[in-house]
Amino acid sequence: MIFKLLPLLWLIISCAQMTQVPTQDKELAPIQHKAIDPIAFKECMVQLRFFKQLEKLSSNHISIFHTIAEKELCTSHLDETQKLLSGHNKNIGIIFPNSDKEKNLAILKGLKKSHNFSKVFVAEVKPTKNEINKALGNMIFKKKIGLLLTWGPEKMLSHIEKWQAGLGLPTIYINKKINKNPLAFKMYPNKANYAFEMITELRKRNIKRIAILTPLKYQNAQFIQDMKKVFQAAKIEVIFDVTYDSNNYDTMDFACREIFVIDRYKRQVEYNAIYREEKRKANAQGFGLNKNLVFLPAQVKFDAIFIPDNFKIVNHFAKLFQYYQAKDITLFGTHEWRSEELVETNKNYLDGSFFVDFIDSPQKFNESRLSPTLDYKLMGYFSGLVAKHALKKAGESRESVTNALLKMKFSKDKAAFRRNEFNWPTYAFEIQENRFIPTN
Amino acid sequence: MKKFIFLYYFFLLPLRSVIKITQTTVFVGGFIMSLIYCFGINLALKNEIFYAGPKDIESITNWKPQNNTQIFDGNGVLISEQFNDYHIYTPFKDIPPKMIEAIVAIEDRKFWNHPGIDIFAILRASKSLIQTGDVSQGASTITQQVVKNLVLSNEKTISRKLREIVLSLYLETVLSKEQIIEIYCNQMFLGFGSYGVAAAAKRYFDKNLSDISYAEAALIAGLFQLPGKYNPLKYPEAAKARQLEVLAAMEDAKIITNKMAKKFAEQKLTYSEYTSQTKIAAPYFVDYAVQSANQILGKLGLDIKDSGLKIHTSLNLELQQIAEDTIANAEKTYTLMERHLIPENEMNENSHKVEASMLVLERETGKIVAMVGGRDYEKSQFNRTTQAMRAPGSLFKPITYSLGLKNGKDWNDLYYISPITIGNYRPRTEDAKLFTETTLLSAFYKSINSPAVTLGSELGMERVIQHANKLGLTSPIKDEAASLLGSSETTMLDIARLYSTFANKGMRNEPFAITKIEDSQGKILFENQILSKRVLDQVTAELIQEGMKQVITRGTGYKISHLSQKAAGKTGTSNRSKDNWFAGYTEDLVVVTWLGNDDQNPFSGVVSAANTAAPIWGDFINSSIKKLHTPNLKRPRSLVSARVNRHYGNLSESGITMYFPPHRAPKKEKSDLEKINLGQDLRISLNDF
Repeated sequence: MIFKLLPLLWLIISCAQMTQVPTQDKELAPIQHKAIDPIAFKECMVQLRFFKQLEKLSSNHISIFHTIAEKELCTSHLDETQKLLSGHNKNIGIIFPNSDKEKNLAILKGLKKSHNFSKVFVAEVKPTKNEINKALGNMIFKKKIGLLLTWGPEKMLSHIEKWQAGLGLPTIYINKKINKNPLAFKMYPNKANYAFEMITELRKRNIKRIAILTPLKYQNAQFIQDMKKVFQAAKIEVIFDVTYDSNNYDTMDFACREIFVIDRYKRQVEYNAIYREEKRKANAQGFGLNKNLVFLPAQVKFDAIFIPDNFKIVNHFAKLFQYYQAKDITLFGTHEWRSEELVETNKNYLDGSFFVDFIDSPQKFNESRLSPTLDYKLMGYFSGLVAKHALKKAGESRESVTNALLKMKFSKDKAAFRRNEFNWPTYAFEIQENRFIPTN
Repeated sequence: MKKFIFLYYFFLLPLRSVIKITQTTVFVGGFIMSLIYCFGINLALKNEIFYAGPKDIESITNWKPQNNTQIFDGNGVLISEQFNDYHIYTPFKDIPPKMIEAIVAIEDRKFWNHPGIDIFAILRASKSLIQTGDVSQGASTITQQVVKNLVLSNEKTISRKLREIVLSLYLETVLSKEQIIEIYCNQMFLGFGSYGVAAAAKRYFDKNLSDISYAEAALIAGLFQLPGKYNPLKYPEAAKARQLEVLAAMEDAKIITNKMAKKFAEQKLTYSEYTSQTKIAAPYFVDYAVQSANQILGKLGLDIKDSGLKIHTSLNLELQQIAEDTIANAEKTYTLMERHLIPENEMNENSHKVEASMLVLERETGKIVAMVGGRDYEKSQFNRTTQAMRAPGSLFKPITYSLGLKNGKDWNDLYYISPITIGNYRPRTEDAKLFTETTLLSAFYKSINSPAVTLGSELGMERVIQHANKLGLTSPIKDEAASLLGSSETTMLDIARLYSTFANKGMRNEPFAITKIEDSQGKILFENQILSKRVLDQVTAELIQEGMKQVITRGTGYKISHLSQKAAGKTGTSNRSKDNWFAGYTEDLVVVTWLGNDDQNPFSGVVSAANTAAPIWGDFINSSIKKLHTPNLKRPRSLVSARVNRHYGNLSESGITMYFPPHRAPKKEKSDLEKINLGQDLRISLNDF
């Protein structure tokens, strides 16, 4: 009889350890023994392994599980356990670490924008196994969530992932580095879409030769390596590929001199001619020549400059480019350019330049301007959106929630998830008269 | 007894009768003679029998004492005298008797008794003329000398002599002896540019007439005969000999005893070459005041010298002294600068390697209350406050900023510190460490170049130049971007006018030195009218004041940050530290200081306005505050304040107080740049992509 109530027991024990949800005695039911159903034995063994695993994860459960007979568990309470593990009340569970408040807040704000919070249960936990287990126990057995949304340190996420299969819990991870599994859905900007949008814009502008200025911090980033391959594939020639240190403005100046060939030794004839001309002018005015004023103009051998760095650095580069009198160059970059402060001080120099982003409109968040903090808001927003739609379409089991996620579409022929990765839409913004204008 | 009766009847009675008869005869005769004499003199004059008429004597009877033009400070203290001929008018009653006695003894011993001429002396001279034909024999009384000096020429002819006699006789009937000798003592040339005994006393002995000794009086009395020959400064031996003659004459006239004469003869005379009558105090200021007065008087057809004018100026001698002491006591700064001087141009040996100047105006009126045109007037009279044309450097920036603020810019507007190019103009690249973003206010108080140039280019050079002219910078400003950093040269006076406009909340005053000019009769010829004109709105002027307070609180004026409640100001360092300025104001004064080399030699990077001009300016302000009990600068009345992040311009409790026009109070609560710089950027890193 005791086996029949085993899941409930587990639930009680788990909940008893949670501070947010105190144990309630009235939830305990009398233990009843049932005969073993051999057909269900295989399924039963799976369940058993699950509980064994639980035993490993929580030392508090050891004494209880040692008293449980395998047969009793499986034959007597298979339905109940299956129902408990699979059934849901169309609730969304959210587990996130109690660190990184800003990020949490941004995601929750985005989520709120897309979803009514009455169906969402939130657990802010210390990212320890024990805390995660308690939160999971509460979500599954008490709140009966149909879908979990989580983010945090990789260790925390991989621990949740271990439970996922056993609990049959579809989970949206706001993280890129999660192992592939059928129940794990990645909510993250899509690099392929991103690259596609960038190449589309470059082709639209007939840009065939570019210079790349890469900050040291991204020198080994996979994204940069991938983009170079994409440029190559798109037959866009990289004329200069120069690295600089974002914290050292001298290196930025050096990078400018490199790509504009501000080098009197490489351009000796031209330099001499300018020198003579400046000297003639100075003499005509009755002054001596100030050699510091003998400048080689920028030699531009490319159509555009790719600067995968933030708007602050782009702003400084823009000033340097103007200083070297480099004109009519298109600059392009990434979502890190997204800030109104990019254009506040640059007059029209950046007109025609563009960047690729994964947000289409700040108005979606009632914001007057494009703000850097929108990234995680957007992730929360999209997560909430897909969760809401999936739960709406899903049946009583969590399996149906998974299926709904897999079948979800943005439009007629555009799936929301491809290989369990969110098919994140990407946009390009062009700078015109100190404003960001969507190109599409 | 019989003897007495005999004597009475035979001697005393006849004698008395004779005397009576004689007395009556003399009296009656004298009376008749006097009538004839007066009638004759008048007849002679009326008919110009001796080529002399009453009109000739008018120049003596109407004689008015000549005096130097005197220059006074703001409290009526004499600070200078201006003259071609040096006069100190002294009425008869103030001329010491010993001076009169010495003159009379040597020049005209019978002065008090004769009718204007000395008949025996004339006879003597006539005899000489008849015997030798020589007309040079002198017989002139003091009266005759007055006539000769004021009416006649130096021509030595009989007719001129006759005219002299007639006029002298007549003069004695018109003027008293005291009046005649007063004219004589004040009008006669006594050498070395001095006219009259008081002027000579000052000129040769640097003494007031009342303070001279017998010996000195004797020397001065000796000068009347031949002032050039007996000039004690040039010919001390001849002067001494002449003095002895005077003393001997005084002894002869029983004015002094032989013992006294010897004693006075032995007294050693100390001559003082008194050359500073023109500048008793504040020499640079006096030069400027004279120049200003000449401009004013020129319009009235007058000349400043010899007019006996009283020129009242704005100078405050106490503040002048503080200013002079401040400049004199800055030796350490001069030494530091000299060590870092780069001698590219040949240097003028007549001035210090490092020169300094200071100009102080009364804030409310524009009165020039102190002026130090250089470290040493004796060494160099070049007035660096009014004559030197120097590059103002960053002192120009408040012009551009005020135009920007007036046209909608705010102190929290974001600017980038980075290299700039405007046309072909590329100012010296900022230090790479400074490459960052900043608010307009932060750029202002740190005096960072690129935001100022960027702002100026946004506004347009033409507008900036017009605005500068309006505010008070009247020197020509080149229409080029470099002018935004103060490359166009100007005078300190111009700078003072400019900063006075900011100090007066946008009201422009004209700095002036002359408050009033009176003629010798006390008639007011000129009185300065303070005309204030609004050239900048109060809101903008108060914004600039708050900016300049921050310069002192946390900017380039940090060395005088203790004055942040009392003063507002701005540093200015021109290219290669050739000019180092500080200009600013308190509730009482507008003060400008400059340090540099006269020959435009640069200084190495260590030297800047922040560590040279600012501390000197601060020293002066410290002293002036104590003297004038200067209150704190008034809080702005037309602005609102907010705590703002000094780098990014967003509202921030931990920021600094910035001021804004009421309708432009900042609203931006967050700054993306701040988040990036604080590492709080929540964007997806490309490393995770």
